[in-house]
Amino acid sequence: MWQKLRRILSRVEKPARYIGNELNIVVKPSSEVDLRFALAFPDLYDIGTSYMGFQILYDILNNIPGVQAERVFAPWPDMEAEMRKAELPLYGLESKTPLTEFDIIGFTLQFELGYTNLLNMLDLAGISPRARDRNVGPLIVAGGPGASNPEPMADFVDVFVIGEGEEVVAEIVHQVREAKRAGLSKAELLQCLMRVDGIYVPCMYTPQYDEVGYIGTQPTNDAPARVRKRIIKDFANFPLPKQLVMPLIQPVHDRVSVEICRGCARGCRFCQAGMLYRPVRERPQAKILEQSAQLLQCTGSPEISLSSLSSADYSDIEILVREMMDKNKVGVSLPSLRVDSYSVQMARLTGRKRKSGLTLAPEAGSQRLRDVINKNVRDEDIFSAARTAFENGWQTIKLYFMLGLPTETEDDIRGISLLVHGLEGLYREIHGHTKRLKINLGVSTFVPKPHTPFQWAPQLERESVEKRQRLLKELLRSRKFHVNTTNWSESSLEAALAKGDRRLGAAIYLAWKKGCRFDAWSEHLRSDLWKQAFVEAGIDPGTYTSRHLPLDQPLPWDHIDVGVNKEFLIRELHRAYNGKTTPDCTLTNCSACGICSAYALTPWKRGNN
Amino acid sequence: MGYISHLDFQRLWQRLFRIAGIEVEKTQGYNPHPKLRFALPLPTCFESENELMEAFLVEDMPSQQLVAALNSIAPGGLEVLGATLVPQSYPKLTGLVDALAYRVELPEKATVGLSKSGDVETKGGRRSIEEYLLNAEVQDRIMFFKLKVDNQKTIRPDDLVKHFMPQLDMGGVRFIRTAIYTEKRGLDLLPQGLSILD
Repeated sequence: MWQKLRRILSRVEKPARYIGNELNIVVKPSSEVDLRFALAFPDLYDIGTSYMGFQILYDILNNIPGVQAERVFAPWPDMEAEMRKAELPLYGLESKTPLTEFDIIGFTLQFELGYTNLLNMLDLAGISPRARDRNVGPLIVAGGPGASNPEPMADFVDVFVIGEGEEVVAEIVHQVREAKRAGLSKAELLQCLMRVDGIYVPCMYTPQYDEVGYIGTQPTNDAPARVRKRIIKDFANFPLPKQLVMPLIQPVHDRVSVEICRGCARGCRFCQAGMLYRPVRERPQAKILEQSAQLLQCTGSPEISLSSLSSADYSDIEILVREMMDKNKVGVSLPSLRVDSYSVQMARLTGRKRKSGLTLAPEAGSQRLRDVINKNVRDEDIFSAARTAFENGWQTIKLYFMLGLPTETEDDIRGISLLVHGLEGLYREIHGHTKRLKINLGVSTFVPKPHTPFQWAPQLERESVEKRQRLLKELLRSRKFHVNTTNWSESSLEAALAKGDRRLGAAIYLAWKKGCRFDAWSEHLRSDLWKQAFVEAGIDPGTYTSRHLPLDQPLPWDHIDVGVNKEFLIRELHRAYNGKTTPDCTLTNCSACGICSAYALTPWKRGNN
Repeated sequence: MGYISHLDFQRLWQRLFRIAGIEVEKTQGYNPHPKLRFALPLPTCFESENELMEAFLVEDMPSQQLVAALNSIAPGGLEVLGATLVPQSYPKLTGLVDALAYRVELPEKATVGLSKSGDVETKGGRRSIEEYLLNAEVQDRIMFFKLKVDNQKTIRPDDLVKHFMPQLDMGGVRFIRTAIYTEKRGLDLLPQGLSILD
């Protein structure tokens, strides 16, 4: 095995991606292993090693006696070609065991454009991508945000995990072990798994269609009508992993990521993560400080990232940052900050190098549109943040916007330009010139996502999107401004895969067969092949994405329950169209989204730490 | 271990020193980094049985303790063979190296004779084989080279092999650095392992 591998490795880019042998990996002798679990990330090693979800599951699984968890990532096309030529099957990094010899392979569906990579990894392992062709071999499991609409991938995955995986992953291990012991068939194993909370077994459900489209999903036998997501209720006391695997090749940032809070109740209407990860649960400061000290020790990382969906909202975040810097003597970074001068103060506190620039995410160019999407950021906030930044030496600002939001008009696009020029004017007012000022804009195209108030909304069609992109670039033509937009082919594909039903599986299979891989990488996305695939599968992706769906129409993901009820989403959609905002329930009143009653929780308010 | 780039290798060592709790002096300037230097970088995909590194520690430390601390956390394939404490005035490591020895494992028996005439094209320019190839031996499919290093100029063994056997598929060849020589300087330095400067 090694011989074959060695020959290949000298011919590929960054061979370290494929050798394992990193710091803090766990390799148990085979005599001590009765169950092998592969944690499979459907993208390149360089991207996947920073995925915290797998670090958490790796730690949990390897702490179960007899279980060996190993990591596997998608080989880059050069390595794939070599592997196929040498007939070297895809293997787990820890022991180099071929994936076919694993009991369970768990994928994470982080983004829709990674779907073809999942099929490709199965094929590279010598495993049939289609579930119905598999009667023996490892159980194929998938989780992550993509599992909240599992239907497009239902042809390829045996079992989906809906929600948070920390507890259910051990339950799956238990079921598989029992099934092995009792000599159960795959069908019998799936029956057992179906009864586990939070597990969706697609072959137990039959989607139905009429001439127009999807009309519902029929569970067979005693499959539950809806599958509800799992959550870690006692997140506050759930320990951080004791170790983190440190890659040998430099990841984008050399830092340890610590989850200080899970969930976000700000309720931005486009945001799927905000709905999927409710309820909001904070980790206590004392635990964060204590457990992260150990992580820093075993990784030797110079920096810690206090991560969550909205870190600056964490109760007494300033105290946590100060304590972290004093006690653990590390650099602290705070991703995802609020847009106001508070975030600049936080940035000063953490000593961010001013070279790296300040990032703010207004998302929309006008107050009107911001109210529609419930991004509660006012122009005054943006300007006061910018003023504080400029006065303290920041020269570069990065702004995130979305284009194609519901009710958007060209006036809103002009609003972006007004905002940017306003910032330029502010800088000039403070410094007398704008020689060193740089404003970078990341403008992505809106993709409506399941389980959000905007799930019924259409994606803006190509002509309008491209027209608005051109308009924005025209209005911001200057060496000081840099506008980055996303390609239509990428955004439209993402939308179709996000809102599709099970019929999409045929297109995904054909696209993969035709050679589609690494669709999230612009140099590899083959929209021509995807187009062919859709045509051959008899699917018009526009039917999923180009119309506003009727509010009473069944949705392909209705049988997946993320704890937030549909009435709430509809209410929020109406409020959006009326330009009414909804406040963060952890700061004021409950918005009756349903999550607390679904899990019998007392509504939690900030500051109650 | 041979599959990571030199830059990543350096970063790995920085991390290992941090995890072991051994404080390393930092360089001055805009981008301070730990003072850890290698005698001569090893190309990616080469292996090595012997490397030389110098580390500027903030505090004195007995060599055995240092070696033990680093070895207890080093990942598989990496081992600290030894360490020597040397005074500040000791010459820079990169200037000390005057030869490198390699073992080259070919996929099959070598069919060419090695001649000392001619030049090899390297990234740094044309180098004469006669001047740089101090010693060469072939045993079946293994080749041994001793290559001179002059002011960090040398001939890489893969360039040399390509010169002798242009038809060979380099993918199947293993390059292993077996020794670093500091003989000519007549200094009492272990030809292997780690040296530490205080």
